[in-house]
Amino acid sequence: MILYRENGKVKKISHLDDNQIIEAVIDEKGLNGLLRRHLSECPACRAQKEMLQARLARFGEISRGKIPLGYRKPKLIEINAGEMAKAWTIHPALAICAALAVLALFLTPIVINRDNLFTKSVVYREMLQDEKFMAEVRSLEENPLPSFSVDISGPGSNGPNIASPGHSAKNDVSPALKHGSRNA
Amino acid sequence: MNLTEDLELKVPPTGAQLSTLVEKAREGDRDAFEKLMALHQDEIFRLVFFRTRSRIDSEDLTQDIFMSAFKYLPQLKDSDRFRPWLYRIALNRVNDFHRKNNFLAYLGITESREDADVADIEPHLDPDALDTVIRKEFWLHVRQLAKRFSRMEKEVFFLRFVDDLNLREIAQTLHKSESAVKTHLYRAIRKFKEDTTLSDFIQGEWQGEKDKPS
Repeated sequence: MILYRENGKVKKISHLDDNQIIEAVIDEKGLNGLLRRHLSECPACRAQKEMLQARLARFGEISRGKIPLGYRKPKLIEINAGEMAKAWTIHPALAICAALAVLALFLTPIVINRDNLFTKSVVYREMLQDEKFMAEVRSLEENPLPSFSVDISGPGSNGPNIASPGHSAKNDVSPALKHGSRNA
Repeated sequence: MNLTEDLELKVPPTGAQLSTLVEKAREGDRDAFEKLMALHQDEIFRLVFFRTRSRIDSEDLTQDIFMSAFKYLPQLKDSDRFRPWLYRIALNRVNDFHRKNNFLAYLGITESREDADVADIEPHLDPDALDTVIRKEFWLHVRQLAKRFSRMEKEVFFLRFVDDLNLREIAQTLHKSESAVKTHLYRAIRKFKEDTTLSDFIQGEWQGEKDKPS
């Protein structure tokens, strides 16, 4: 008969129950001192514990026995210990520094000024192009014909120079009209 | 007798000798790592095979496990914990393998491994038809037992009784406290005890072994 205390209650048993046998199989030292002493003295409890232990051990043996033996052995392929890990591991502090550096580069006044300068230069270039274009337009307004056409439509030719709207009215009037108006 | 001679003579190394080997391997000594590999390859292959039941996959996974171990060995802080650390890598690889297989099976790319229990066991290794039947029956019982276990109960039970790890090593492998390991183990053993068909099978195998003429 064993009298022992569990969760504040006194228990009276004659042998270890199933749960206590399992506990003994897992870790005998973890059992209550009185139970442990009983287990060492009681042949019936001891036999129960050993039977369960043997069944579990047998299960392990059978499992291990069902594994094929002649398998392909692993080989160490040519890398050095820690080589891959070192190559692919970035220290967090280094990563943060890199991120901050990139951010600082974008926010720095130099970058902003460079950006402004870049914008101004583009505007100036565009203004120059506009001026050049306007100069071309003005020259075309003054003299729209190519040089050989100007030679053909010289002051001695007949008819109004319709291709030259920029010419004065005096030049546009033909000699016949001039003559008629004189007669009138 | 020095460490190298001991290992060549297949004398199981002591804890201190193992720690020395791990230290050397951590510093990039390939010979030391190869010795560690030779010492642990059988148990790692067994762990993988028991959980995948495929010889080819187990061979590939074992290779992969040792390559990972060599790669990340400098990160192991305590050389005394090499074995649980190696088992942790192995279990992670096996879990990844199952996850990938389940996903591929879900997509219909591969077949589910549920029924592959004995398919990969070559007949030439098992010329006796009776042995094949016994083997098949055993895996069937193991699978039924595993179905009754929770994930943690399964891990703890197999690590304790198939892979032969002690409570402290299991706790270190699974990153759990020893008391948590004991609780899971307690539940698993209860379920094992209740499984009468497996008990009968073990008893039968036991009797068969005893009755075999020596």
